[in-house]
Amino acid sequence: MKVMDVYRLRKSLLRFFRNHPAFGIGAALSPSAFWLLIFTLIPMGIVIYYSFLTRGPWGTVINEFTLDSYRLILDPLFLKIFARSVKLAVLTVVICLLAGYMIAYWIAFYGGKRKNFLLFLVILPFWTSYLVRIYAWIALLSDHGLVNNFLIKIQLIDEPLPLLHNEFAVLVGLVYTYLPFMILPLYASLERLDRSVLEAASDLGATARERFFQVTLPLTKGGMLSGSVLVFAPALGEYLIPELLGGAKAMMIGKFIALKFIGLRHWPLGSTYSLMLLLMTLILLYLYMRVGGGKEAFQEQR
Amino acid sequence: MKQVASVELAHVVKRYGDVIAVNDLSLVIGEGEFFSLLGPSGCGKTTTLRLIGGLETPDSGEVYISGEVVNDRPPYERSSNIVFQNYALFPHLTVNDNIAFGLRLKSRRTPEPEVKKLVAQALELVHLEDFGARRPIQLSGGQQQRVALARALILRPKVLLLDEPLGALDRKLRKAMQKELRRIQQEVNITFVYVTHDQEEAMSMSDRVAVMRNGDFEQIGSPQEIFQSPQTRFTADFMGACNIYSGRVIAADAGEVGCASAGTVQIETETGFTVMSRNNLELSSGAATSFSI
Amino acid sequence: MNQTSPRLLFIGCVFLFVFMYAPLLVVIVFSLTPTEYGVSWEGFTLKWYQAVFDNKNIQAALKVSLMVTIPSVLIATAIGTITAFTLYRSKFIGRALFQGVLYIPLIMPDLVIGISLLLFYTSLNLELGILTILMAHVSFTIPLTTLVIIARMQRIDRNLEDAAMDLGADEWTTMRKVTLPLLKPGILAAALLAFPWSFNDFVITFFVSGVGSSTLPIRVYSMIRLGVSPIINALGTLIVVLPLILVVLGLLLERRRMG
Repeated sequence: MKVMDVYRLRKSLLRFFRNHPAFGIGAALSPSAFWLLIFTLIPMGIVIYYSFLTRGPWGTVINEFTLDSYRLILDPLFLKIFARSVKLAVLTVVICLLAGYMIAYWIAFYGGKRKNFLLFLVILPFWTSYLVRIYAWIALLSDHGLVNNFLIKIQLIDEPLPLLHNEFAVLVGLVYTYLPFMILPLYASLERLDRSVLEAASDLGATARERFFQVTLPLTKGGMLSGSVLVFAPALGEYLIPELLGGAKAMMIGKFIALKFIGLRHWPLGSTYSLMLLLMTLILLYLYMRVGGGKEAFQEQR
Repeated sequence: MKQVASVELAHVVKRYGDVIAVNDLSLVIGEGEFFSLLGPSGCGKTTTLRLIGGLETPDSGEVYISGEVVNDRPPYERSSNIVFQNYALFPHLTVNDNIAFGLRLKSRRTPEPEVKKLVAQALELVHLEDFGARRPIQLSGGQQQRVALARALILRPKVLLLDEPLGALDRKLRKAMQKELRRIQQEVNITFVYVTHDQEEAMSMSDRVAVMRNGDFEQIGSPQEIFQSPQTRFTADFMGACNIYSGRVIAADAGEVGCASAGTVQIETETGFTVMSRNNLELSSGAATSFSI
Repeated sequence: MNQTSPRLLFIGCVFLFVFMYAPLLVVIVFSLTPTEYGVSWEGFTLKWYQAVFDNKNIQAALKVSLMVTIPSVLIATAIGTITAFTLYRSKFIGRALFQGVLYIPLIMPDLVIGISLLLFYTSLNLELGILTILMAHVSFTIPLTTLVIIARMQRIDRNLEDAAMDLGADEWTTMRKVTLPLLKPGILAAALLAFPWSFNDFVITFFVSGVGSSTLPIRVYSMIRLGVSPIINALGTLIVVLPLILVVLGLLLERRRMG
C-alpha cells in the first residue's frame, strides 16, 4: 500500500526530528544558509581578498599581496569625495528629519480615519521603479525640463537655470528617494506616544510649544534615530542618484567606486574603497545598536 | 449653609457626534470639598472631569472655577490639575523632574532653589523622599500614583481632578491609598473631584457624592444620604442594595386610610405585601415605585 | 482637544505629498502627449506606447526580466517561508547571529552587493547572463520574504497550534491544517512584494548582467544615457503602474487583520 508507506515514512521522520531537533533546524535552514554563504559571505570574502592584490597592466589583476590599495585610502581625491558623500548624506538626513517629522506628526495626530491610507501613500512610491523615479527628476530639472520651461514661459527667467548635474539635484534625489524610510519609524514612535502624557503636560501648564519640545520630541528620539540611520546608510553609498543627477561636479563615493571597477578596471582599489564604505555602514549600525539599546532606556533601565 | 463655589457647572452639555456624553449638568462644589463622581463606565463621569480640567470644551453651558468662566481657557491656563488614570508620568524624566515639570515652565518661571525646595516638600507629602532620582518605570504602581499626585499638587491648584486614580492598583494597596488620599486632601485643603466606579471607594472618602448615569446626575448627596435613602432604583442598584422591591403607592397622605402621619406612604408590593415608609418624597396614590429596605 | 490641524502643518504636508508624487505624475502625463515637456498640453497620443510595444529591444528585455523575476520570486518565497518558520519556532544557539547575517543584504549598500557578486562570478569564470542575475536576485530577495513572513507569524496565536496538537494532530498535520492556512496571506504578501523588489532592481543587476542579458531597468537605463526621449516616459509609466497592482494587493494583504 503506497499511501501507508508514505504515512509510515512521515511518522518515522517526525519521530526522528522530534528526538533530534538540531537536524530539523539544520535541514530547514540549509537553503537560506546556502544562499547566504554562497552569495553574500563568500563574495564579501572575495572583495577582501581582491583588496590586497596588485593591479596589473590593462586592468588585469596580479595574484600578489600588497597594501598599495590601502595606502590610497588617504588619496586626497578619495577623501574629498568621501567627505562630500558624508556631507550630502547628513544633509539628506536633516531635511528628511524635518520633512518626515511634519508628515508623520500630521498623520499620527490629525490623520483620523485616513491614517492607513495616508501611510499607504507614503510607502507606495518605495515599491515603484527607483530608476524611473530618479529619471523623472531629469525630466523635471534638466535645461529643457518642465521646471525651466515653466519658468521661462512665465518670463521669470530668460536662460534655463542649472538645476541638474550638481549637488542640489543629488540632494533632491536623495531626499525624494529616502524620505519614506524616515517617515515610517517616526510615525511608529509618534503613534506609540501615550496621549495622556501629552494631556498631562498641557494640564500642568505647558503651552503647545513647550509640550512639543519638552515632551513629544524627547519621547520620539528613538524613531528619529532609527529613521536617521535608515536614511543615512543607503544615502552614503548611493550609486544611481549621483550617476544620473550629479554629473562630474557632484561625485559621490558610490559612483567613484563604480568608476574604479567599470571605467578604470582598477579592481583592487575598487574593492578597498567598497570595504571602506561597508565598514562605515557597519560602524554606524553598531553605534546605532549601542545607542538603540539605550533607545528605550527610560523604559527598560533598571 | 452657603459655601464658596470652587467648581461650578451650569447646564453643561458635551456631545461626540450623535452621542451625548454629558447632558445639561449643573453642579456646585464647595471650597475644600472631597467630591466624588460615581457611576458605571460610559456614564460621563470622566468627560465631566475633563470638562473641568479643560481637556474638553463644552458644547453649551458654562464651567466656572472659583467663580470665573473658564470655558475658553486651555488646560495650561486653568488653575486645576489632573491625576490621570494611568498616571501619565513622563517616561523620559526622573521623579524629581516629573514633579518639577510645571514649576519650570516659562509661565511660572520658578527659581531653581525654590523648585528644589518645593519638590522636596512634595516628595515628603507623598512619602517618596528617597525616590527622586528614579525613573517612573522603576517605581511600583502605588509609587507612580504618588508621583502623579505630587506633580499635580505642587502647582497648588484650586481644584485637583482625579480620574480613577486607584483603578490599576490591587485591593490592599487601594485601601491604603484611599486613607492616604484623604489624609493628603485634608493636609493641603484643596478641592478634590474624584472619579470612580467603585461605590465603596466613593463612600469611604468623600464629603459628597454624585451618582451619574447616561450623562446625567441621578442623585447628589452625602454618602449617608445616598446609601440610606437612594432616590432612584438605579442608585439603589448601584449602591449594592440587594433587597429592592417594586410596588404601587396605595396611600401617600395622612388623610388617606392607612397613613399614620404626614410624610408617610403605604406601598403595596408586586408580591402582595404592604409596607409603610417614612420619607419626604412627593408620591401620589397609584404611582409605581420601587424601594429597598 | 484641537482636532483641526494647524494650517501651516497642513500646507507643509500637502506640499510634501506633491513632492512625493509629482515626478511620477509628470512621467505619466508626458507619456500621453506628443511633445517633450512643453508647458502646455498639446493633444493626447498613444504613439509612445505604440513605440514601446514595437521596440524589439524592449521586448527582449521584458523577456529577460520575467525570466529572472518569476523564478526568483518563487524560490525566494519558498525558502523565505521555511526560514521564517524555523527562525520563529525554534530556539537554537546562534539564532540571533543567523538572523543578523540573513538581514545583511538589507543594510549593505546595493553597490557593494553588486560588486562583490561581480568579483565572485568572475573568480569562478562564470559567464554573466540570466543565470547569474537570477542567483543574485534570489539572494537579495530571501531576506525580504523572510522578514515579511516572520512579521506575519508573530501575529498568529500560538494557542491555535497547541490546540491542534492537543486535539491529536501531529506536527505535520498541524502545520498543514492550521499554521499554513493562517500564514497563507503572509506568504502571498511576501511573494507580491518580492515581485517589484526583484523586477525593479537596478544597481545589483547592473553589475551582474552580461551583454545579451539586459533586464528592463537596465534597458531603460541605457535609453536614459542616450538622452531623454518620450518613449522612456511611456515605458516608465508601464514599469511603474503595472507592478503597482501587485504591490497594492501585497500591502493590503500584509496589513490585513488576522481571521
